Amino acid sequence: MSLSAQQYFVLDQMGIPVWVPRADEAVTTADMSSETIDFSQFDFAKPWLVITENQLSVAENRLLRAIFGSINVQLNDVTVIDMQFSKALQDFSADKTVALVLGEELSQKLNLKPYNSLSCQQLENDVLAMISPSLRILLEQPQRKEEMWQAIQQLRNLRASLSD
Amino acid sequence: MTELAISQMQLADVDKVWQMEKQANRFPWTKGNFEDCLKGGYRSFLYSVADEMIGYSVVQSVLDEVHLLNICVKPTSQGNGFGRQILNHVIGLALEQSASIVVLEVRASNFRAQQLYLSTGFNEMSVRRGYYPAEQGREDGVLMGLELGMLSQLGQNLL
Repeated sequence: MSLSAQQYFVLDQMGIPVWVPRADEAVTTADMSSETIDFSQFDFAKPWLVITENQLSVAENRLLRAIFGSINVQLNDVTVIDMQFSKALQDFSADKTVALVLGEELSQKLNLKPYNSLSCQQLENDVLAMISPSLRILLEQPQRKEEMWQAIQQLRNLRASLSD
Repeated sequence: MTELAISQMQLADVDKVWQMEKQANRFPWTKGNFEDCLKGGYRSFLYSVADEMIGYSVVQSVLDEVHLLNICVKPTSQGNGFGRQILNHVIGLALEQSASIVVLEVRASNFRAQQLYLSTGFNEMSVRRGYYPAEQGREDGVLMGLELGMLSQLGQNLL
């Protein structure tokens, strides 16, 4: 049942909360159930790439949306790829995309290359990448938010340098 | 309830914002504080009624936290529920962004503001001793937080 603005106002005045189900924006990730890996689902022109070990949980999705929202980036501009689709990483362009690698263990699997003296590294196809704690770790250990905040700020700077 | 018109604060607005800041606070932010916030990309809003600015807010997002750095209602417009409306707007922004908490700091002596925050669901998280300048030395700052877990699950209409 939908209520009018007037009805919401009256209920609010009486101190009666109105509960409604939340409809979360879904993060576009690969379909884990698909037998055939289809890379066409990825938009390789998106400016932001997030690489995860596994598909994200609802709580991790929400945290990722908040993290990018805090630097005014919508998830529509972010491609999230988990390791089962790692071959798709080679199709992203170092001129257009920067990557956030979620988890230090994952970064070791990706064979990242050092990049000059900056704290970032590079994927095999030269896409610049920042490494941050995984979202699961961040949910379990909020004290590590500082590391994530530094990584996301540096990622934003990297992205800005591509736009120059 | 008078509906507020909401717009983004621009650098060109800082002069009039600062005038209001000085009217409303014993220890106001400097003009440079507002300019720095805008240049730093903090989300800053003006609230108006019938084209007259009655308040503003400055918000910083840090990952899944939203920090309400400044909220102000013009002294002559206070007592009309505008503060609550502005606060609800900020909470709505935080929910849109999937933030998990809104935090703010308030002077220990500002009971009126604390009452507003408490009635909106904020809880006291800690006290920072001598955080604010005061007429007689320093004054404590009360750190308050609103966990958004319940609101984000059930929707903003809880507000």
